[in-house]
Amino acid sequence: MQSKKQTVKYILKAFGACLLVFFLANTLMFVYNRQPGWIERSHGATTSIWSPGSYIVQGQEGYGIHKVDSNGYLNEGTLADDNYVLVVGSSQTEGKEVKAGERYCDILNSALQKEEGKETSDLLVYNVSMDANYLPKMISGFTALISEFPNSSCIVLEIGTTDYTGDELQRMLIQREYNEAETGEKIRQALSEKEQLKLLIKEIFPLLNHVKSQYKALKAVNQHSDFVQEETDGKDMELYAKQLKEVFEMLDILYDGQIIFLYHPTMEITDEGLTAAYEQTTEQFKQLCDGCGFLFVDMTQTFLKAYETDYIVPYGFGNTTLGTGHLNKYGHKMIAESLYQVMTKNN
Amino acid sequence: MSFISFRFIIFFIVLMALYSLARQEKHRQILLLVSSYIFYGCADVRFLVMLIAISVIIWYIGLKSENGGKRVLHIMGILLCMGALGYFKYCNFFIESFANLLRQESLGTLPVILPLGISFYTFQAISYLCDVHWGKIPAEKTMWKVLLYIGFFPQITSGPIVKAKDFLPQLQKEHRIIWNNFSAGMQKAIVGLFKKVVIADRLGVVVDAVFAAPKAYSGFSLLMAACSYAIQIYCDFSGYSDMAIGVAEILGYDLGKNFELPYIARNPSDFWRRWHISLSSWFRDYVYIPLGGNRKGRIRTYINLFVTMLLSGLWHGANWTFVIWGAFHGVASAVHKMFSDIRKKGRVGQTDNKVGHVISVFATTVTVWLLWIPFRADTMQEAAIVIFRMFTMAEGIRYISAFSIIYIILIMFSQLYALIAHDGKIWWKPLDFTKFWQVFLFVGVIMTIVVFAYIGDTAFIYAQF
Repeated sequence: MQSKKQTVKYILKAFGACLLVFFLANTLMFVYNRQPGWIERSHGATTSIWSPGSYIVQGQEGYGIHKVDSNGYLNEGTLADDNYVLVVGSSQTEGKEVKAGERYCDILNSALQKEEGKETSDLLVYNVSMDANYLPKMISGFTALISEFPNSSCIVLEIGTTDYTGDELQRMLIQREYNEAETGEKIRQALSEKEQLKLLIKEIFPLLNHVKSQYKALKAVNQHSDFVQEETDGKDMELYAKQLKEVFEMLDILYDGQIIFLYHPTMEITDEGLTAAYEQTTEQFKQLCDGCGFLFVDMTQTFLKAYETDYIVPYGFGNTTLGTGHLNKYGHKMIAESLYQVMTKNN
Repeated sequence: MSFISFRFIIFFIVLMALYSLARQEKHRQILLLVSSYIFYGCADVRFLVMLIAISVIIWYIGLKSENGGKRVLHIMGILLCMGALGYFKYCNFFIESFANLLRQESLGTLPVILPLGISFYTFQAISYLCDVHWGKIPAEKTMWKVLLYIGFFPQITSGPIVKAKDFLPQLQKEHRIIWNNFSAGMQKAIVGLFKKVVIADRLGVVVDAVFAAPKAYSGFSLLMAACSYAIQIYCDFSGYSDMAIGVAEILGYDLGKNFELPYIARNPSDFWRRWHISLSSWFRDYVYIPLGGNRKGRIRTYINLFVTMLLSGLWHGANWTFVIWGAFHGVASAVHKMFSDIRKKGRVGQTDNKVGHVISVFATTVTVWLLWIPFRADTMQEAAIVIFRMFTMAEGIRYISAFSIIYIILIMFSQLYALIAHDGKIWWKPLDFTKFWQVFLFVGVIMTIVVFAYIGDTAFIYAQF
């Protein structure tokens, strides 16, 4: 009897210790790595949004805390009525790893507000980015984008590569229509109880999401599933140009404002210093942009010059690897300055 | 099969279940041998065949050369081990070095793959041959016991190199999974896992990036990377050792200690008594002492020390950087011995006061950490670049990882704590799971591993040696 009691006591102690550790670790996640709910949708500017009204914390590479606005994107204010700039892109443009105010959209917004002498908090630059929202996805959602966010004067499309397969270029032509029932707030309210509960658990227990992502990463490492980029050598450049031209012509018809392609290539640190990845498609991409009146902001030389003068690299953080990964605050600053120059020059 | 994989977890759970069900010790030992071969064979079956072949030959030679028996056979056994190691590990290195000597561009290379753990199990085989020939232990009549000693899975890929005289007598005893062993072994394995995946692998990211392009980084970044590497290699290797020792302890086997707070060593000799203890003692027992040790006069002692360290350097890898690293350690050990002899101190490295102690620990740590640079670099030229840029505080990319600072401080403080609280022997005492806060601490360490583990390239550094 005494022994049984003792065993139960030990089990209770162990359970209590586990519970306390879980509670502490979960609390830590609120300031280290907290992902809000992720809502999929099929008729919007992007195929998914963050849970509106929530907040996101990223501390695994750099550090940033961002609010999710009512549309499900990371913006620190409300959108101006018209004449604003939409920046569309992937996690690079989301800028989760840098502080609010250090992202290129935030810096550009402040500069444009200053330029126009506006004291209003309405955003002149609005961020419509999501994780893994690369160019094929961005273009497919272009019709939905300009319907969901009408009256913009300029759209910036962020790209890390100019090399796309024929399949991807074909898919860009299939446009996603916008459905008003899929705005951030409406879609959130329309979620089933089960889905709402799932979002709530994700937001209350960020530790579970973190552990899940660690597990996924470990599984991927165990399976040796490396991401393999398609070889660009031997590409049919004529076909590429033809297909891309079709895409650009479509964009030109759909949108009256200015389209800017923001290109920031992959960089590598070698013994020779910072080097940019060469893509044979970039020159072609640039020429087609010129032909359609789109602006092509190429960050390659700006990034290389920053290294040569101040040993600054645009990607990576002290916590991870410099030179690769997400844009850091220097990368964002350089992009904001370049975009500002281009916009004021072409205004 | 790596310790850090789902496969290993399943493998070990199944093994523990079968181990507990086995009624006789003989069955448990055979089960361990089969499991060891499954563990090893997962890497490459061809290597397994070679391991078995070498083990069987060693067992046979042991029987024939026992207690001063057939000397020729004994030497042939040692040559077999050295030959296997030399062929697989050093063949291409010597061909390339010879080509360089002849100023030839290349003499071609042989298509040789380094079998996993060959540096470790051939040394165990030599240990068996020597211990049996010198009469320290009787030759083992049962073949599979020698096979188990050489192929025991916790230590086959990265050590510790357990000596035959320490392991084989354990096979005469009963081994069962009991709570005390399970608890202590599990704690060691978890601490090892923490050192490996939380500290070493995270620091490896910084180290790999900086050593891949040393000319691009600032002198201070290189200094931080060099310090990070000192911590990385310690946590990587001692982490693996802790896991191996812990896993063996759960099964009831004692593999001994492999690390004893090496970064509070007072001098080079003290460092080698604390770092990779199983390898240092192997070289002491089977190289340094047979060479004459300190019994043939001072000059021979210094030469023996130097030669032993040089060979220890070469053991680490087929590259001149390892040879130079070993040579520098050899010089440091010989100079220290010379210095001690001149001062005629009773015990090597003993200092009179605390200030002297601190200075000697600091000087030893700086020397050891500095020597890790050629050890990590791919070429001596690269090592020279790192050292030159570091000391001239060259300009370049500033890459100071927060993790480097945190982990360097954490490790050095834990070692100092061990020095003050536990006389420099251990940095933590086994936890008592009947106490709430000790369970809390243990679960907390596991949670820290889950949350902060770096998931990426997690290969063990010493597995490549």
